[in-house]
Amino acid sequence: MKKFVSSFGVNFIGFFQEARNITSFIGEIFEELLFGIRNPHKIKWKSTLYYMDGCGREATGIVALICFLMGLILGFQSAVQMKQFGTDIYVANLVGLSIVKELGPLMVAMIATGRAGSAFAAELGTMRVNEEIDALTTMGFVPARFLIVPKLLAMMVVMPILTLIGDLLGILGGFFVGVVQLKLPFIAYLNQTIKAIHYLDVMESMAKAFAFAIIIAMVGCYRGMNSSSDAQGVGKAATSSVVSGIFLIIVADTLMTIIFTQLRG
Amino acid sequence: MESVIKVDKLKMGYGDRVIMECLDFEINQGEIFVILGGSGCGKSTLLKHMIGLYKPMAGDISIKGKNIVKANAEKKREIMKEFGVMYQSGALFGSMTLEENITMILEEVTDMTKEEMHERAMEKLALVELDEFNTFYPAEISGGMKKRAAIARAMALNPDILFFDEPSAGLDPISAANLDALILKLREEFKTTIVIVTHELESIFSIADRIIMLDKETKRIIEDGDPRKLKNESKNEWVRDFLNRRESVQT
Ligand SMILES: Nc1ncnc2c1ncn2[C@@H]1O[C@H](COP(=O)(O)OP(=O)(O)OP(=O)(O)O)[C@@H](O)[C@H]1O
Ligand SMILES: [Mg+2]
Repeated sequence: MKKFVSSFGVNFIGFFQEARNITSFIGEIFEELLFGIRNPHKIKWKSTLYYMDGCGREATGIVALICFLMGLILGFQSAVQMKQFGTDIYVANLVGLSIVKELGPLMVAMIATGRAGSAFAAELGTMRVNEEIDALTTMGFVPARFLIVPKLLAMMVVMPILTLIGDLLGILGGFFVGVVQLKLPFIAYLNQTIKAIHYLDVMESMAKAFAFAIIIAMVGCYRGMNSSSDAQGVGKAATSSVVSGIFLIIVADTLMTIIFTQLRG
Repeated sequence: MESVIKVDKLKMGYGDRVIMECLDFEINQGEIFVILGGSGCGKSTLLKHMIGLYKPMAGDISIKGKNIVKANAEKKREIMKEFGVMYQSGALFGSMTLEENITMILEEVTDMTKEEMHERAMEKLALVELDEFNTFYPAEISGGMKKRAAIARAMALNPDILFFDEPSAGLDPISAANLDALILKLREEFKTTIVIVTHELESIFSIADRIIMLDKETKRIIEDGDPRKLKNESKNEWVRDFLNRRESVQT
């Protein structure tokens, strides 16, 4: 019992220490981001491009495929229900809105967490083990500026674009079901989709993608920078970057959905 | 003689765990200073405190009269320009060639031209006999070569102070002897102050002006002085055993 209480106490203190570390980490990164905005020539554009390529272009295929299948699944599922009421055409609304407002950004974020977030954590964790981060520091570099800002910037650019692609392919998936299975006229489905999706819905999609980009990059980098100095440490950092990344994305998604709904209410 | 590094009542550790305490010593300009001690006693930890990477639990450290413990981030970076470090694991950047590993520092803190940077990098690589490998990536060279490349990188800015963490571990006897010669030459020509962590007794006796011996049990410095004298005259039996490479009953 005593052991339990004391371990609880230790965890409790640990929790606050972690919270303080995270806060100062976020503060530092935003400070460096502002520094970069004021001194754009100091940003490592070459490595920013490198990460844009790795996290963006290379992810396009998988994002397109998964989002298309998502749209397809959603189309099938809703077609079954809608058919009962003879409101087949509303499949277009259902698929379009679900994809753009929710599933598009969310699926893209999940893929990016698994790809980019864990890669960031593993990369920085390995650099910590190899004392490369120490070396950067004593060589006069600011590790956050050199290592984290390019990753963050790359994600901020790439995620909205990926989400846009994901949204389009998701809609295409629904379209496929509507035209092939429900035999809806091509034009009718298209018009219904355009009517259903307001430009604010697309903005919402982009806003979510942008927020998720920040979460994924920050979580991945934080876990990597704080990985313990051994091989298991790197593995743990990668795993926990995915777990806490997904958790935080869901929380942020919930909050943003509530906020956007209220705002447009 | 002028002291360039001053460690004052340093207490260090990780979390709550104290590794060493009451460390007090000064290192003079041009001195070749060796930190000794059993494996895991805290030599690398001490080195990382001296170069300002870790915050001590108590005490102060100054480099050329500038307190690195109390300095803010900006000032710390200034102080860090005074020295070069070779880390125990080499710490070369895997995504860059050996030459780029050196030029990236020059790019960041100097305004040399591309040509000058290339020349400087080649000059430093030649000192450790790696000039033919300038376009190789760290993954493509051996462990001992990595150590030497890391030494070359530490010297990139011609610093007044060098910190080497086990530079000769994994080097063949000839490379190790060449490294000793290089260290003596740096001291001779540039009055470079060199702080080394090493276990190579032969190299200690041939280059060290002074050693300190860290002890894991008492968490303190148990010996401080000229290794050639301490070898026979140390009052501590364990230190004599260590320096004579004898088995010791007291471990
Ligand atoms: N990052 C760290 N976090 C927690 N404890 C650490 C860390 N690094 C080292 N230690 C502990 O500090 C002690 C001293 O480690 P250090 O690496 O300084 O030893 P060392 O004297 O350099 O050993 P070696 O000769 O093997 O290089 C060890 O007991 C180690 O367990
Ligand atoms: Mg060590």
